[in-house]
Amino acid sequence: MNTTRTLIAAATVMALAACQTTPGPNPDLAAAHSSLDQARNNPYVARSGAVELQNAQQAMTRAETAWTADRDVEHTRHLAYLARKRAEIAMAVGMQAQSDERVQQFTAEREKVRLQARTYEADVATANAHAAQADARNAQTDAQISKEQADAARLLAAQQAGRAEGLEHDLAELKARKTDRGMVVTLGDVLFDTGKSSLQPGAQRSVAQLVQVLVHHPERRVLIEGFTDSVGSEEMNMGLSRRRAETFQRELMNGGIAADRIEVRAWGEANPVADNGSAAGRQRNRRVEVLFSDAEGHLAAR
Amino acid sequence: MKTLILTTVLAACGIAVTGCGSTPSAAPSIAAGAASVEAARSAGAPELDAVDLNEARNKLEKARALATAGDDRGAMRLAEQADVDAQLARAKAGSERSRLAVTELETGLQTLRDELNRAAAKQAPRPMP
Repeated sequence: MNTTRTLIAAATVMALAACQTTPGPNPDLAAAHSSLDQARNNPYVARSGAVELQNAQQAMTRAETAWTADRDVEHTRHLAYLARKRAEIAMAVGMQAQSDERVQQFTAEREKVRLQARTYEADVATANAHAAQADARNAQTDAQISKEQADAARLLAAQQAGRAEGLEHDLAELKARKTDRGMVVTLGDVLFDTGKSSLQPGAQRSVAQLVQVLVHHPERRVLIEGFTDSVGSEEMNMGLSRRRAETFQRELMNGGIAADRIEVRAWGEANPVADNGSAAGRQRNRRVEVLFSDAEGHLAAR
Repeated sequence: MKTLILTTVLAACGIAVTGCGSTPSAAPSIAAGAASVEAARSAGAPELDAVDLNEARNKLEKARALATAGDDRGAMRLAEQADVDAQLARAKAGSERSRLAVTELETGLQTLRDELNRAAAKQAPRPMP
């Protein structure tokens, strides 16, 4: 009797337990749920795939309801498949939205970079044009400078050559001698009155010729040296030679030659060019010599 | 007479009951599935998501075979699955196309940037006036 009651109670409990059971774990439903959760948690699906997500949720509900009601594994598997695929569709729509957003971003970015490139190209082109212009100008200027320098050098060389030749040529009429110290023009005492320092009228021609040569050759300087014979005191001869040289200096300055181009030196009886024992020799010793400097204005020392 | 009427009513009831109990035709589901497959095909799914599209096509074929064989329930299930498979193929084709566009743009953008940088590096030694 007791045993029978216990059995009935156990059976009742088991029956009740069976009745209140919610649908047990179904792997197809679980897989569908997992896909649906994934889609639900994707912000792009929420934004752009709302319709697809709703369809997936409805399919999920249908599958769960069917499982609860019928416990039909085959039918539930079918409905769960539909729900899972609808969730995947929602995900695909979300991923497309995400890609489309990036396409827009990149397109805008590309336009920006293209604009940058165009601006840069324009800048570079402008800079190159400026540089090319500057180069052209520089080249032109350089060429001009080179040409001018070459011309100047040529001219200078020609002038120097010409002047060197020209000096000898110009001095030829004055019977200049070429010596170790340079060109020397000797003016004999016939140009001076005896014992005096004033020039005879005939000497003016020689002076004029010298002035002309010095005007022609502005780079040249002259040293005017006075000499006498051995007649008379040395002191007197020194004075005489100085006065004659200075007379010549004055004449050249009157002709327009600058004072700093003319040096004067008195030698008196020193440096004779002939024997003072004869009248002819003494006459040759009474003289003024005009020494021409080199092209740089240097006068060689005796 | 009474018996005949009763018999007719009963027969009608029997037909009605039978009709109610039978599974609905799979034809509309097959038509819907076929439409979705066509939509996926024209959306580029053959190139962009052939796997899901083929799945849909195979199921649609089987659904038709089952319908012909009289298994309307099985045919309807396969047609419904073919429908979602085709819709998925279409959606994936769209997302794949966009993904490819992103990749292409990204590459192009990088190339453009590289060119710009190279040009800048080449020009750099020359001072801007």
